[in-house]
Amino acid sequence: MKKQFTPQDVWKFSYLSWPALSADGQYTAVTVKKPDTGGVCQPRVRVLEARMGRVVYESPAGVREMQPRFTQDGRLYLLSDASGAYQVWQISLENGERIQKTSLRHGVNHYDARMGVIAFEATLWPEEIDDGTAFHEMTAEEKSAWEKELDSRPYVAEDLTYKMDEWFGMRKGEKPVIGLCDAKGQRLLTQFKDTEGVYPALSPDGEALAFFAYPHGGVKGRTAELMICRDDGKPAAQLTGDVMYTPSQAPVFSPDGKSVWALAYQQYENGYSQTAVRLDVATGKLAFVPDLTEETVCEGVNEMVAGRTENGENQSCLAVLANKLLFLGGFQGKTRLYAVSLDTPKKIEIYNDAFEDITGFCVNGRGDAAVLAGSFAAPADLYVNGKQLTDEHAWLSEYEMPITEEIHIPSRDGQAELRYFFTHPIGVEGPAPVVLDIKGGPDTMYAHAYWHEFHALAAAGFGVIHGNPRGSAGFGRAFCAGGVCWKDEPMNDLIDMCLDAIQRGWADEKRLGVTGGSYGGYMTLKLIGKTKYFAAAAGQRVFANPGTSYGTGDVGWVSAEGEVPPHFSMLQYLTDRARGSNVSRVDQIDTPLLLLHGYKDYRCTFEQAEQMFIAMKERRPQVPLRLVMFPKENHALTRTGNMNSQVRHLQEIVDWMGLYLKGKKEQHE
Amino acid sequence: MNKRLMTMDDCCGMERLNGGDWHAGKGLVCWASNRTGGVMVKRLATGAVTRYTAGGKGEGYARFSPDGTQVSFLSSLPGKGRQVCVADLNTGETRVVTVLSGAAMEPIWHPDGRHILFSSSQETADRQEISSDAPVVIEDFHYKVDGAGFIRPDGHVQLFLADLVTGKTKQLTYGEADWMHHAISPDGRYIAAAGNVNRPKEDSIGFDLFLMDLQSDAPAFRQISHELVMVSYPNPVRPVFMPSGQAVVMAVLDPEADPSFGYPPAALFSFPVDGGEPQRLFRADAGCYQCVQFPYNAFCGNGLDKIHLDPDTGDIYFVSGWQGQANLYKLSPGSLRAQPVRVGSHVIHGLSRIQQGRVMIAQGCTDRPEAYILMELDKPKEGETLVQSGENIMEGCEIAPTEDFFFTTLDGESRVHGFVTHPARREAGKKYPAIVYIHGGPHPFYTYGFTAEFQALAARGYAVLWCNPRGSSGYGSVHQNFARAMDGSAYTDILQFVDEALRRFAWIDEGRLAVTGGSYGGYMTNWIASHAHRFQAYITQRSVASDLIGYASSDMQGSSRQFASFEEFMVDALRKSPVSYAENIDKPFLILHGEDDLRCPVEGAHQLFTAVKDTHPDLPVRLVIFPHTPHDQPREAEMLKRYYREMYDWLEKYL
Repeated sequence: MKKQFTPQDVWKFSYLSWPALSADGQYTAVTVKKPDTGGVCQPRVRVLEARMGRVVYESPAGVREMQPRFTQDGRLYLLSDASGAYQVWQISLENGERIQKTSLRHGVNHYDARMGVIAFEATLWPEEIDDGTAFHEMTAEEKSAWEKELDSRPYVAEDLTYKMDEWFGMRKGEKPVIGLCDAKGQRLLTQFKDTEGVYPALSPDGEALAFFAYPHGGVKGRTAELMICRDDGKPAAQLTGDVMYTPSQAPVFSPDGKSVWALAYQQYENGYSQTAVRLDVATGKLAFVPDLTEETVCEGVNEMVAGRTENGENQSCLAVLANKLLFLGGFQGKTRLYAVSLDTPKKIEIYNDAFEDITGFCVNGRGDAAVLAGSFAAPADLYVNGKQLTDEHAWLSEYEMPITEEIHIPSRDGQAELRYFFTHPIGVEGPAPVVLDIKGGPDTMYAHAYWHEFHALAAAGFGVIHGNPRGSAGFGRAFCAGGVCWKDEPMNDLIDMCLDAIQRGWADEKRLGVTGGSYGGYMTLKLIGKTKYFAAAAGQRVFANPGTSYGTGDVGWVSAEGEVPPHFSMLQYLTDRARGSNVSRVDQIDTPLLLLHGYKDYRCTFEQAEQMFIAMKERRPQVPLRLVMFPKENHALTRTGNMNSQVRHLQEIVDWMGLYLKGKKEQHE
Repeated sequence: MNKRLMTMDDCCGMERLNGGDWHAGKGLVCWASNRTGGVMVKRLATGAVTRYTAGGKGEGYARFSPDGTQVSFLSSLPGKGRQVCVADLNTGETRVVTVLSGAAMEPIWHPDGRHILFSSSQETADRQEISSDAPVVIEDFHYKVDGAGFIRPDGHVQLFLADLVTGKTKQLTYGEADWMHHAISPDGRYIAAAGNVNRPKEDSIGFDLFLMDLQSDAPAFRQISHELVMVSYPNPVRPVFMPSGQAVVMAVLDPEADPSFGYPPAALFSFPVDGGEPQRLFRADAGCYQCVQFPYNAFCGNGLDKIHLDPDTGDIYFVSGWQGQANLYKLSPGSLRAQPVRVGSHVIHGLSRIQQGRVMIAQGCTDRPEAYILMELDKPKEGETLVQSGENIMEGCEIAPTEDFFFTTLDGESRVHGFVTHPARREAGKKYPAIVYIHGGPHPFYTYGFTAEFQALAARGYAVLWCNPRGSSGYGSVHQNFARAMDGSAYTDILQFVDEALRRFAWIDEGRLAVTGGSYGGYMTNWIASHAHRFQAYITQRSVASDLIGYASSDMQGSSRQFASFEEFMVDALRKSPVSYAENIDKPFLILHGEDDLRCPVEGAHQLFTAVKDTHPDLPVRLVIFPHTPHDQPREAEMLKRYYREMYDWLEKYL
């Protein structure tokens, strides 16, 4: 008798990320994250023989390690907190010797290593850069005293882009800076020591360095530029231009070191796509932009998958071989590894057809490929050259697994073909209670991936509709053009998916629930404010009132569109934002509403949930209403939040749907 | 006399008295001070002073036992919370009496000298330990309180009776309601207290008066007031029993006040213990406008009471504010007129029990920080100072003088009282920059009280201009009309006040004027910054920027009920919000706010900063958010210094 999956079982997952491969193809490494008893996911590194999968290294007990790298000369590097904070360490696979290379005061965030040179990104405070304590690790007592003092320091902002959800709000003067560590010792780049810099990458000969910096102030404060320089920080060329870089991973050097590649957004006639940009190291000129978005095979470099059980950074979406560019792309529900020849570009091929959902990869010069791949059945495991080397999710076979089908329907206006996935409830015949689960973004893509939330809902007896309405990524640029995500098309698309499931006898129209986070939370509120289809709603980190989100969240400025017009009226601006918003439709809402929100959410701030809660409580007191606030969580709660919060968050949704779609609370051990 | 100028350290380290008491029979006075810590007891005959402490922080609310052999007080003990403690004056021993999980408040002695009655926020015994990371479930209004944070569903304030002999504490009230402002009848049989058990949840400040008979078999609280609202926020008043024990005297919100004028003044009523018809004790008139007051700037009377009865004569003594003063009044039995007892340009904001024809009062004035003064009831113009706070300031520092004046508002509706504090060591012939400092509320009023912050600014060479525009209480109901605080009248009053000050004091440099204020004062700073053009710099503190954000995120949540649609409400709220005019703010703008401010939510500061900076990329705009700080200036001395440093640097740079 198989077990039924419950939210509590989410504790069991382990998460693989950052696959690495040695140059000779002998070894592969991966980061494995698992939650500790406090609910925090702790990373460890595992190194395996690439052919037979024998484990040759695991992080020592009690030590956290991540970001493994093999250099051309066969050395293994990784970040390890054995000395307190994360530092770059060199590990010998032969004799287990461990050498600590860096001693940054607050540790290293990212690094690259080539030919005995290490480039690092480390967070430092201005006074530490000046007074030389940057390279002095703190003892436990020093750290405790320092944390206490920092805790009482005020937050100061003088620039528009002063807070981010990723920082859990405002910083206190600290910023990441770039430095080098080699035979001459550790140092910060002379000319960039006061510049915020992230994701350093070294050229193969270790002579040149590329990274992203934020040189602009004002409303362009978070606009990144690609910097390239030599050892002492003297720029060989500062590569700026009309390119919207995606500074979420390191730039990639070509094997001959003459070019450097980065992810960037390309504007087309009918919209934009993320592609890769190649720049010439010597001249800084934009040398070649391959069109990676020919739209029948792929839509560019796209890692924007929503609804996937994963945790941890991956090295890169791009790999540059001598004459080939490899990249990850999501397209029509599948995430593939693509290849395009640099000699005769235009023809994009799927590099490896065996996998439907690739979350990360690494290739070496020989063409070996380490791939993290998953499916509807399980999160990612590690494969090298097609052979599975890890089996992290075998325990799932003890559980009943739901069946997921992919359905195609035309949009009601005939303008688009829509795809949705239907995950059938376990042990329940249709028409069943069904939850419409709307993803955030909106320019993301639901894929052929395992998402434990769908599993928990299905095991609790709910069907799940998870579809890609207009505005989603991966279905061509026209699918999201013209800001369609804020119009009525996506809402109609989602309704049509529900109607289709009802028509097939899968969904009971009287027992439909709706949930979603962020944009999905916005859409959840929009649906219950404008329609009567749903008997229960769970809004996660919702966007409810643009009139109060301006300036409280971390995105959206008037001056981002260009100069503020001379007769600009803030009153008109805020009023226009408030009109027609989700909260303005509160008087029309009859659907029992659950709101879930992190208090430290700086994307859609907690006050968005309060707007909805107070308006509902005051004006619709007869409608069941519940708000659950998570004190320490931000907008990434369901992805990288504390496991206690993640499990509670999911349990609340399952219980709410149980209460209002089935008339009872789900029983769990 | 060579006195020095007051410094920021003096201001941040200002001595604050935290309550005290006086025992006529034993000739003792006690007080608590943040300078000495602990509770000080002085023998009046010899002048000998002894210090008692339980080893905790913030010790205060000291009261003598009826026989004067013990003193009770509150102490915040590390790891144990704020508990009731008792010091034995004979043995010198101090012990902790309570072990509750919530903070204890307002401990008072039972006449039997064996029991102590107090209130405390209490969590139910079977509740599991909840960490501060645990999710908070919110299903009703009033789920958060500024200063306390998010209220757990069962975190209500209850009443407790501690038995000093057995060491046990008995909980007297239970359930989903709050109880406080308690008193005990002279014979020790009855407890009177305010409770909100019969009030709707969203009515966060409504209380009724209840009575409990301790001798009854199953003592429970019986409501003896109906419809009248007991005065709690913003100025709590504890009830007092008549000597006969037949009635309880309590301050209530005046039922005859026009509710459209905003917060009603406080009227004194007596409530028969048998639940009969309450009696109004005096009619408000020019002589005495209301009972109690809401002073904005006088640190005075903390830990003392507002009403007491003379057990010998039955006269009721109470404090009442009028035109910047806070004075002592009395009501004789049978008279409907309150008589002034001690009146002047000062603030009297607390009194002790009346014993043997004398009372100890807490009094301060613009030149003198709070003192506890022993006054004979029949010689009210005199008094013996028992405790003087801030002696080091008074003796060592220049105190800048303050002048005040009245002027008639432009529309002739009322008169505005304005104050000008000179810069310290003002030299003739020189012109000085000035800070217009607007008080919060808008309901409280500026008094003739000692304001360390103004003196510190004066010491730095600024004049401080402060007034009580319309909306302020203490000048009659027409002046205090809440609508006037929001409809542009207060705004005009303040601008007119600046003109009046410039006219009267030629040494004020009208080209160097800054505006600041906190809470409503910050709202008005924001409004002035976006509507007026005569000032050179602004500092807005814990301000209201958006009524729409405040509607949902303030612990005093708003109401949209008078609007047919929520959209109409939003349009109206935005129209009234200063942030909606941010494009007009074109002078250096400093925003100071506490991260844990739940009254004027910090989200408002974020939106205000963004709105001003977005529309003025090159204007100096600075946002400073102070961690662990609720709706107040920071309380911790080092952080407060940082706060003032921000203000001084801004003024120095832009004024």
